[in-house]
Amino acid sequence: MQIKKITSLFFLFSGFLFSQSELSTGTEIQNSGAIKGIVRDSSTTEVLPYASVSIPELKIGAYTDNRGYFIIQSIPEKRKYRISVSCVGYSSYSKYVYVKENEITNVEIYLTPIDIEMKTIIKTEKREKSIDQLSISQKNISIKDITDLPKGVEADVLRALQLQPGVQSAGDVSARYYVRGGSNNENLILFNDAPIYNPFHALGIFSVIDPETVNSIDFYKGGFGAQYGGRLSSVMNIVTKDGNQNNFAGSASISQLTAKAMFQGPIPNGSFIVSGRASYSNAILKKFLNNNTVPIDFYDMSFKLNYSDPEFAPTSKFSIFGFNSQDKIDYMNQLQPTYNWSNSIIGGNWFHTGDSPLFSEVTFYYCRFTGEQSPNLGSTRYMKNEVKDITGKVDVHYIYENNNELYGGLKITDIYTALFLSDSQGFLNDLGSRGSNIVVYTGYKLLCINNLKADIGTRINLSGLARWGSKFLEPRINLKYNVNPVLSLKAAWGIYQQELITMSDENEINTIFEPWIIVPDYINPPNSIHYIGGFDIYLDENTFIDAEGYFKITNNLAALNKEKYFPTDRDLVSGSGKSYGGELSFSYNKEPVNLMLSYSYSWTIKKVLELEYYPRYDCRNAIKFDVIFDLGSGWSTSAMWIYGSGTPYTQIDGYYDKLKLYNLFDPSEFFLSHSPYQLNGDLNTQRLPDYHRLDLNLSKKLKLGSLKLDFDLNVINVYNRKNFFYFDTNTAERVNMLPFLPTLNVRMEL
Amino acid sequence: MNKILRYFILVLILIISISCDEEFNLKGPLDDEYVFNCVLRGDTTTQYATITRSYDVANYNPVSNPVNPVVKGAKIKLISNGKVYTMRDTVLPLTDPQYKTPVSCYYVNNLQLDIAQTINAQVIMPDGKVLTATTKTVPTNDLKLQFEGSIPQKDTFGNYLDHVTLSWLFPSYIKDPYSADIYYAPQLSIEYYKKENGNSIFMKKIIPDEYRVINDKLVPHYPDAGHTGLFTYDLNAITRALNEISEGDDNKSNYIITRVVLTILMFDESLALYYSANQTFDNGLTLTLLPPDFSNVSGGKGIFGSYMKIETSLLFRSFYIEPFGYQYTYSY
Repeated sequence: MQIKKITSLFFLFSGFLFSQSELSTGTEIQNSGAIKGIVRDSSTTEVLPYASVSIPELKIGAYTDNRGYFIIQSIPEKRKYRISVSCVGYSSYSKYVYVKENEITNVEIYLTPIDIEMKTIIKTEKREKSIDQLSISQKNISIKDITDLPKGVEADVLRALQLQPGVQSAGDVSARYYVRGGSNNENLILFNDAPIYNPFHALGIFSVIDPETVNSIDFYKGGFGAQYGGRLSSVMNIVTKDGNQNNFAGSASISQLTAKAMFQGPIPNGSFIVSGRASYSNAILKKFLNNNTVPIDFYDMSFKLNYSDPEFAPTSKFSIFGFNSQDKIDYMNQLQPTYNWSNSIIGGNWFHTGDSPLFSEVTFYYCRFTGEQSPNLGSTRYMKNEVKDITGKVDVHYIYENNNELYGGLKITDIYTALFLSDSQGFLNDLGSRGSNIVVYTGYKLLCINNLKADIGTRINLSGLARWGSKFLEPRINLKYNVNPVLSLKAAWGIYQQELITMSDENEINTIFEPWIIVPDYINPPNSIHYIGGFDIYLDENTFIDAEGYFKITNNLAALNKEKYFPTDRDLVSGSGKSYGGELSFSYNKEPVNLMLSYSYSWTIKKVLELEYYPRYDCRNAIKFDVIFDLGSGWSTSAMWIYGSGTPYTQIDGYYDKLKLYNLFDPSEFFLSHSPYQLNGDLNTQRLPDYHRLDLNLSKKLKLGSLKLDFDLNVINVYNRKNFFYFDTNTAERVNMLPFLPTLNVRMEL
Repeated sequence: MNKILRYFILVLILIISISCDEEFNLKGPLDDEYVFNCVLRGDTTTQYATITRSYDVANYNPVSNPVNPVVKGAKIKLISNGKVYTMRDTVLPLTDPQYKTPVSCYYVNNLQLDIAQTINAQVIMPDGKVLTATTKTVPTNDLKLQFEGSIPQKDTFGNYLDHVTLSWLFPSYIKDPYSADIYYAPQLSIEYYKKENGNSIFMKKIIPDEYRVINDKLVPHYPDAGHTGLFTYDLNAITRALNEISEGDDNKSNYIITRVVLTILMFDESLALYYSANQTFDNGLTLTLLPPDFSNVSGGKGIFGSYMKIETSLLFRSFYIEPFGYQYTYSY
């Protein structure tokens, strides 16, 4: 009954918004037309997200979305207009387009990339921080951002996030990250809209996403819109390349860890792209792992097929995509455990634009994550985790003549989780469950008022993955007010819910994989409320200041029950958390220099079982600096310096011999069975030394006929700062993070 | 821009100059704690206690501690119903596996536990520090056994079952069957004699509740202690245990089965919590890194608990026991 009511309300609301818009712009429709199109790279035919498309004469324009599409409405009809298109790294382009009355003119625009020998090191700051866009807590990360900065062993999508203010890294040896005080599992990572449940290779040192395959990355560190759900803290939406529609092309590269290759080319009415990457040597990993050899083997591969038949479905694009990653740690020793984990995604997408300002998209995918810890003959316990996620969704965007946008969608997800833990005698207990989430989301972007931009929406959970306690509504508001051309004020508020959580001890230094489960019946699903406010200052076209403050409250935070005395006691308990802080970033982008400096101040506090404490990743002060210089002739250099004030730890206040009772039928056990137990001080009340590290990069791009060569020399931790990682209690040794480490990467492209 | 660069280089030089290894202490000052352990037994009048203290080691490996942290010279009083039992220190003819030293402990000879008895412990350390704790024994008289005492058991229609169910109730004591009030550890065993060179040697075979296949091997599983007074034994496990008694010995008549014994240990609430916390952790039924540090000793660490023990005999039906070839007089 309630579902019926809400569905009716949703459609009523949508209908109301449609009708309002038609009424308000009805007179304009009679006298105007529109231009709709897609912007692509002329050499690779890849779509170009966030390109600027404008009609200078009318001083109106739009930006392409992450699929490369744009629409400009309310153009006076029966005239030829010059449209101007620009995108970072590409030559500007303009062409004349004839606009007809009451019609949408479709265009396809190809931009030519600026030759690599010329000035190429341009970041995307200008385009993403447009005064016309709602961009609170949002960052569009370009692949150049990832590849031009110093790399660890190789460019990594998730590691690039560490440079964002408000993002706290789990350390040099982990690509895991924490956003504004949220746990690692509160970050949603989407691969063409499908979630990757464990996006890490090799103990978390690298992500499973090969940057070669990525076309665009949108990263939201809070305040994200109603189209995203299921996580409390952040969203990273990765859209992969479509493949070259005109020519076959390939690239190969080798680092000290992996070898990889990519191949792309045209198919009838479409394109394809296939890539693969595999580890071949563990030598470099020893540097990450305190000179210990961990026999890690991994690979990942992905593909995407695109089909767009101008006769069969002229304004539609069909895509099929897939992804698979596998990791294995096998010591080839029966006394050591073996670990296997894998991610698989297969999905499809139908994107339709039609002859109206309506964009619709139907997506389905099947994701599977499995992680297994096999003890062999050792003492480790067997553990297996499996997540199966089948999802179908429909997304619709309608853009009004006044540029306002109504969007909405329906998403149906069925998730099955299994978590098998063995007891001391090998018997398996399953903590998994199954659930379905039906969610409707809707929102309205108000962009027609000059100074005020707004995005108001909500998610409506018609059924939750967790059996009870799910929030019904997740409303969100995002506002921006342009005080003048220099200063914009912005604010966001929203409620976010997460029903799929990981179970692991947050004090664990580095987990192989974190097992996922649906929030069990006995606790309510976690939810958080974001309050974000800030301002943007556009000092000039090259210089930009972004300041944001946030306050985040998390309720029903699922935490491991540290007072689990009996097997029948609950594994999880509900806690709460709050985090607040401020972030200030300054960026300067003028050839040949790109520079960004940021400072963040933050507090994170959790409360579990009446104990209030700072989690291990609570970093009070963080400074991040990166600079890229284009030296010309294909040479470039960059530097990156990260500083973080000391994170919390718990002091060891000694040990005592704890009586271990296993079998009271044997009286001698009382005298002989004991083992040391650590006496800990107050939880996380001490602070580690500050973290800081400088990395440098020198790269050279060469073009030999059609062969492009990239050479990258990186120096990690230039001044060999001994950043503390952990104490190995087995060897009584302090283990530091990465030492001074030079690395070399070579990349070839045909 | 040049200015910014200059500042950056300046800051960089500063950082490099101060980037030497910063020392910090992972360890705080030693938390000086005394650890008092005393588990009173209902099946004997001699009760034992141990006292140790916390310690630190030069490194981070506590097993490297070379000195047995045992505390001697403490005064331990056990007080119940106005009567005071003073424990004295002694050394047992046992060797501590870690420290390779004789086991030092405290004992009292004349404390017979009664049902539902409250016993307070007061421990005065040599430095004057006082530890206190309380235990209340379980009222075993209220235990109602509720099972057929013959193996194999029959169902209500008279058919023989392939499992043996042992159950009991504590009607007046248990408020909530899953409360921490009481905890049972059962043990089913076969007591028998083996004739060797004219002597009869007493032996005991503990019966597993089932055999599980793990890594293609049959592994005996023994019942876990728990709140519920209901334990089930697979009849095949009992049969296998009976066979194992004389495995490899063709002369079955050398074995005299005297009885099948069900022993139930009943822990008081504190001992139940202490025992189960470790069991739950060791059984991997939690993902926490450390077991909970439960203690009911005020002013220190450790456990002061008690358990009562009851025993009852079961019988083998003759059609079941006879094929084994053993001597068994109490079957029917």
